[in-house]
Amino acid sequence: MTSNIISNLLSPAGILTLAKVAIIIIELIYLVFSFIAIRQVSLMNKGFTTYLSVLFTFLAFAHFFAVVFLVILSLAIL
Amino acid sequence: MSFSILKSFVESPDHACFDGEDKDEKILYVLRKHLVTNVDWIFVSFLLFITPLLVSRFVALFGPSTFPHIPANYLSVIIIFWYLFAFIYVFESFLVWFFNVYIITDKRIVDMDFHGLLYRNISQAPIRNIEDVTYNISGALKVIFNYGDVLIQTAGEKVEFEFEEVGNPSKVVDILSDLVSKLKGHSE
Repeated sequence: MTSNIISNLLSPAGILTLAKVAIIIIELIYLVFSFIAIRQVSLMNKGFTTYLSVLFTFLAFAHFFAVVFLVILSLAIL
Repeated sequence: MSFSILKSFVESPDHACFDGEDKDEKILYVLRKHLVTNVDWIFVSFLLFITPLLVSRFVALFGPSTFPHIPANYLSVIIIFWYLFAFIYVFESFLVWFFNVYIITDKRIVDMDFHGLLYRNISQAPIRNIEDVTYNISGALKVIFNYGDVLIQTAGEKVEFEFEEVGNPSKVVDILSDLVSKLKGHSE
């Protein structure tokens, strides 16, 4: 039974499944980080406000939504 | 719109304010680390952006059969993830440089420190509390590009401020000394 599970995991299909799970977990951790980045950019902008503050906020949100898109894409195509 | 705010030595910046600024307070100078201090992260960013291209050239050169086959969908996801990571590295490094500012107003000096995305420290001291200002330039790069550390001794709670690796430190010392003597001259 156990040896069957191990041999299934070590097969090409099993390795791809493990890779898929690993990629999605890393992406979810990265998603949390990108959310923290939005918060930190807003704190930085609050600390020192310039006419570039809007651009920084936009880039932080754009990055966050790109990561969301990547997680959805990974769930769909992997 | 000018991009003067992106310089490491900004005089009377337009449309800039900081948290806790008084209504009658005026920002005279915004200082940052010299542009040369950004070379290390710019070099790493360049490597991050060209790595996928180098790897694909390497694989093409030695033949795809030499390397384990990665399905196209997995490869696409990995490459998108790589470039997003490269982007946030550049963005974060730039923000840390941009927001690590030393602000000189007509009332006080403010030292804003951001390290990475998770640490920040903001300290300030009134100009009238400044007792001594010195600077040091040590190292070949600092001598060539004229940047160094300005040390400010104050009488307040935080006794020493350090403006690290700012451009033209002798001018900064001169500005601070003038402000102190002007302020103390008025009060005496």
